[in-house]
Order: sequence, then structure tokens, then C-alpha cells
Amino acid sequence: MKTEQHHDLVKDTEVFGVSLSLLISRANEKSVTMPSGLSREQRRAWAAEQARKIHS
Amino acid sequence: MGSGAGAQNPQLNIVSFSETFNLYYTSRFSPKTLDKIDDFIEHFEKYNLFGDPLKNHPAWIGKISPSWKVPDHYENKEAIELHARANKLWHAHLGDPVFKDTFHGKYKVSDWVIHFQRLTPNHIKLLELGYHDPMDLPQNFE
Repeated sequence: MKTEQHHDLVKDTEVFGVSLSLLISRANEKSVTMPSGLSREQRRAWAAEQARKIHS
Repeated sequence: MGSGAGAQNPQLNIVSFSETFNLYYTSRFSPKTLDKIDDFIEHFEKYNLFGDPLKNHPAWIGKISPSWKVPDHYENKEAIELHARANKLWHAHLGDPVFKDTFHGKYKVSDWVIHFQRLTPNHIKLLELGYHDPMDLPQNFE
């Protein structure tokens, strides 16, 4: 019961426009790390390629 | 060996995306917002968050804060402090739609902030954008 209450507290708490539970969930997701020094065009192409890999 | 590159050994600043942030970056954010995110990424890669005055490297123009530093009037302040700190949550004002001056002039603020994890001083993971009215904060809150 105490754990559920604690979970609800986190779920309902907003931190600078985003729920705290969502931020924690995103923080614990897998991540993709970009090569540094890309141009904007290269970065967007790189991100699209990562999205394709993630969802294939 | 002998190239001199090792002697310079520049510290790389690394940016990661959460998988959901990557999805939004590729399919959801407006072109203008993407440009703002890219401004932030490129600044971090070159100068890190706070720059280095000794090298004439600027700090990011927008306010940057650890997300566990919240005003006293926030509900659930203790939960925020506990979990935001444990998860290394930070946020930066992104300049979207525009940067606004502050009364002290130390940094600028905007309606939209970018949330990220500061995994190490040289590695951040972008998580989400949040809308937040900067005028909602007490004037003396930093």
C-alpha cells in the first residue's frame, strides 16, 4: 500500500512541465549515442537511421 | 605516436537520445524546435553546459538547473528532490519559441525547456521537452 501511494505521488508530480514518472521512464529507456561533430543534416539522417533500426 | 593528437586530448562531450526522444526528434518536433534542439546539442558538444571562462568558451545562453532544485511552493517537493537527484535529471531553457531576458541578466529563459540526464559532466541523454511558464517562478528563485 505504501509503495502504491509512493508510486502515485511520483506519477502525479510535474517537474517543469513534464511528469516526474515520465522523465524517470525515459531516463531508464535504452539510448542511442550520436557521433559528435555532425552537421544538422547528418544528425537528422543519423537519428532517422537509429529510429529505423529500433523499429525494425 | 608523434602526431600530437594525444597531447591535445580534447575532452569529448557526448550526447545521447532516449529511444522515445529519438522517435520525437525524427517525426514529431517542428522544424523550428529541431533547430533549437540542434543549437543546444552543438553548444554542448563544443563548450559543455557551462563553458569555460579561461578558454573564452561561453555557457549555454539559457538557464540550466538540476531538476531537484525546485521552489518551496512546489507540491511534492521532497519526492521531486529524491527522484530527480537519483536519476540525475536536469533541464535547460531552450529558447523555444524565444529567449526572454531576466532581471539579473545572468541567463535567459523560455517557455520550453529540454529535460536531460547528466550522466557524467561530459555526457548527457536528452529525454523530453516540457512547457513551463518561467514567470511562474518566484523572482529570487535560481
